[in-house]
Formats: sequence, C-alpha cells, structure tokens
Amino acid sequence: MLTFLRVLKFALQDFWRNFWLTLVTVSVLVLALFSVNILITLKAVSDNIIDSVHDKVDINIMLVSEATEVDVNNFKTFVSNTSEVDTVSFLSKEMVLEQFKQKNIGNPDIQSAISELEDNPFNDTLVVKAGDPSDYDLILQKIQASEYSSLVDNNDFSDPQKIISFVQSVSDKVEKFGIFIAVLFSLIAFLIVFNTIRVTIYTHKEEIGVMRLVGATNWFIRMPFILESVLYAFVALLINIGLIYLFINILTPYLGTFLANYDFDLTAYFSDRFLLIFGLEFVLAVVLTILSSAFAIRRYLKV
Amino acid sequence: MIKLRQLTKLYKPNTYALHSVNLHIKDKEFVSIIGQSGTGKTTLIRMLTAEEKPTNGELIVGGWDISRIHRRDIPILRRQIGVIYQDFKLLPQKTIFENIAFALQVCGTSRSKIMKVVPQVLRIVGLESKISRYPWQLSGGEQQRVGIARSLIHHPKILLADEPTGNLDSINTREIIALLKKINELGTTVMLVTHDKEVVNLLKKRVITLDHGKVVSDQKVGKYML
Repeated sequence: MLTFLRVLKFALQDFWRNFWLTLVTVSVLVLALFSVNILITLKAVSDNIIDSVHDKVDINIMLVSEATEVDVNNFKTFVSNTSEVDTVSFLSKEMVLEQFKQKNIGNPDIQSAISELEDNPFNDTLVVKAGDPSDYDLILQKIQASEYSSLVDNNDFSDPQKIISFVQSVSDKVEKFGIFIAVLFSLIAFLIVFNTIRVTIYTHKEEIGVMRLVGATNWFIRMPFILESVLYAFVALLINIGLIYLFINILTPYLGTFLANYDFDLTAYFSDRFLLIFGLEFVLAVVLTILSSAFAIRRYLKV
Repeated sequence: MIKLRQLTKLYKPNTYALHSVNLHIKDKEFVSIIGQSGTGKTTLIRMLTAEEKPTNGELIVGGWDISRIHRRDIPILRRQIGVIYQDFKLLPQKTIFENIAFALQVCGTSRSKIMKVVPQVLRIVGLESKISRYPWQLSGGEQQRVGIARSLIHHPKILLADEPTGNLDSINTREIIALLKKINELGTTVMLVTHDKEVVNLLKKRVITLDHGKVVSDQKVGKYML
C-alpha cells in the first residue's frame, strides 16, 4: 500500500510538473472522447426521428364513392388478415373532411375553398398501419392483386417514407464521418500520449537512473508512467462529461425548433445511460492511454 | 565474494571489452582495478550491476551466478551492491536528505525507517550538518560523500567505485579514499576502478591491471605500473 501511494505520488507529480504536456495530452483525449459523444448524440437524435416517423407512417386508402357498407367491411376484413398489417381503421368521408380542415386550419385559402364546395370531395377511407414500414409496398401489391382492387380510389403514403429514407441516409453518412473523426482523434491521442510519456521518461532520466542504481523494482520504475496515463484518461473524461452536458444545453433549444413534433430529451438520454456511456468511454480511453504508454515505456525505458 | 571465470564481453562485430578474464576477489577485500581507457574496467562494473550481460563465462557474486540472472532479480542484486560514480549521480532538485531518502523510498522503506537511517549514513560520511543543503551548495568531495552515503543505505556487502575521484582535487581525493578504506574496515568488500596513480600508490592494497580486456597483472600489494 505504501509503495502504491508513493507510485501514485510520483505519477501526480509528473502530471502537474509537465503542465503543458499534460494540457496538450488531455485536450486531444477530450477531443477524441467528445467526438465519440457527438456521434452518440447524432445517432440518438436520428434514431428518435426515424422511430417517430415510423410511428406516423400509414396508408390512407380512399375508397370509391360507390362502395357499399358490406364492401367496406369485407375489404377491411381482408386487409386486417394480411400478415404485414398491424392495424386498420375506418374513417368516414365526414371524418376525413374534418381532419383535412383541422390540418389546414392556418391556411385561409384552403378553408375558403372548402366552404365554397357544396359536396364533400372526400370518400370513406381505410387507414392502414404496417408492422414494418418497409412492407407498405407489399401490402399495396396484395390489395391490387385482390378482388377488392376495384374499391380503391387512390392511396397516399409516399411522404413519410421519403423522410425516413432521407433521415436514414443523412444519419448513415454522419455516422460514418463520426466514426472516421473518432478513430482519427483516437490515433492522434495515441501518438500524443506516446510522445508525452517519452518526453516524461526523458526528463526523468536522472531519477530513473538513480532508481535503477539503488535497486528499485521494475514495477516501481514503470508504474508511475502507467498511472500518469490513466490520470490523463480520467481528467479527460471529467472534462468531457462537463463539455457534453454544456453542449446538450446549448443544442437543446435549436433541436427543439428543428424537431418541433418530436418529444426527445437529450439530457435524460445521457443521464439514463451515464454509467454505460461514460464508463465505456473511460475504459476505452484507459486502454488507449495504457497501450500507448506501454509502447513508450517498452521503447524508451530500460530497467 | 566475487568470482570471474573465463568472463568475456564481446561488442559486435569484434571488439572484446573483456576476454576470458579469471579473477577471485575475497570477502572484505579492497581491490583496485586499473588500466587505460577502453580496457574493460567500466564494462566489468556494468556486468556486476547487471546492466550488461556477459557474452561468455561466469560472473558469481556471493555464490549467485549473475551472468544468468533473471530480470526480476536484478533489483535484489543491486540492493546488495553499492555503486558510486565519477559524476556523483545526485538529483539537483532534492536536498541531501531527500537524495538519500529517495533511494529508500523507491525500494518501499517505511517513513519511520527512512527518518532513522538517513542521518546514520550521513554521520558515517561526516555530513550530518549539511542534511538540508542542495548538491550545488556542496564541494565536489562532499557531493561524492553523499553518493557514498546513498550507496551504503542498504548495507551492501560490496561497494563498487567507478572513478570516484575523477572530478576531485587531491585533498578531496584523499578524503574519499580514506572514507572508502574506513568502509572496507567496517566489513564491506570494495572494488575501486581508477586510473589515478596517486590513489593506487597511497592505498597499498591489491591491484589488478587490465589491458585490452585481459588481466595483465595481479599484485597483492601493488603499485600503479602503467
């Protein structure tokens, strides 16, 4: 225990004495960790958007005006029994008109155009939700191939699918770029830690020489450098936690504007997964710094 | 205490620092190793402290064949062998007390023992009054005495002195040699590597002369003959 405390003391001394080296090393580690967190943030936001859009995707199958109640019921039963379909609900043409009015309540042109119409321009409609949004094409194909195809006036489901594809494509590109940045910063951090430990070994060559001379164990000579690299990772993690919460606080109002229709709390997202995210980041940072310092020690510290 | 059997150190491609050297240094002996630069004196010291491995032969210290020493045993060996050097190897930012205490700290000695032992060894070398000074505040002779005090901290059986008076004037040289003799009389085997003629002639002890990595002379009470 006494020996460990002394090793820790030497490591802390090195950490503060080489202040500028420490600052550069910790900064690069913070950048590497921060880029990982930006990646997590973007992934969380895009996943949330995609999930929300998935929930909102449905097909409105407008029926021909000649369809009888029996036809509608039979068609509804057919659609319900299709394996890819999750739910089917019926909207009368009055309900469809009401929904349309509500949707365009802020548009006076549409409101006045509707009020001038004597007849309801809409027909009865079936609203179909699929278990998996990618199955909509298949469902429509099955309907077209069925005996009920003549009951279908038109259908509309293209817009949400486009949004999903767009978000998914942006998310994939951002994720790839983010991984590239995180790997790049990790590599830079590896080299910086390597160089820092190398310089620290060089500045301590007299002390190391005396330690060897008087019979200090190899463990005792090497351990302060390993502990020093763990300290870099630890301090970088603490700064990174502060930075990411600051970043979320700055980002949240903009995100609120951008994602007006989506309910997503990034702070809660990180707080709920605090141990998982930051614990894993700490382990990764420690592995990176220990490996890097071990290489430097192996290369430059002869015991 | 120290036995060399056919000890050879070859630096590639073909430079022999030591070539088939046979020696036997007894317990509590005081031996001077002399020879011109590049004759293998320092290589011998470096092999005795396991900083270098012999190419061939055996190097036995206290019954322990250190030519085949395992890396993890090297610190144990070094605690049994005190070494002093021409350049003192003191840490300039530490006081005399801290310099010696450092040697104990890094070996896991308790604080209470450090507080007890450091003044003791400083008393042996006559520097107890300068315990709080820094190395640059001492003369060369005093700095070497600190080096000797540090080398004695683990009560070694052997003291290796590699040109310990190389940076000192004649008065300080005599003081250091007198101190080494005193340590030897207290029971420590001393191996002095030097090319200072005055020192060797003053000692009137065993002198081993090396030339081109070979022992060319071994006198019980020798003189400097190069």
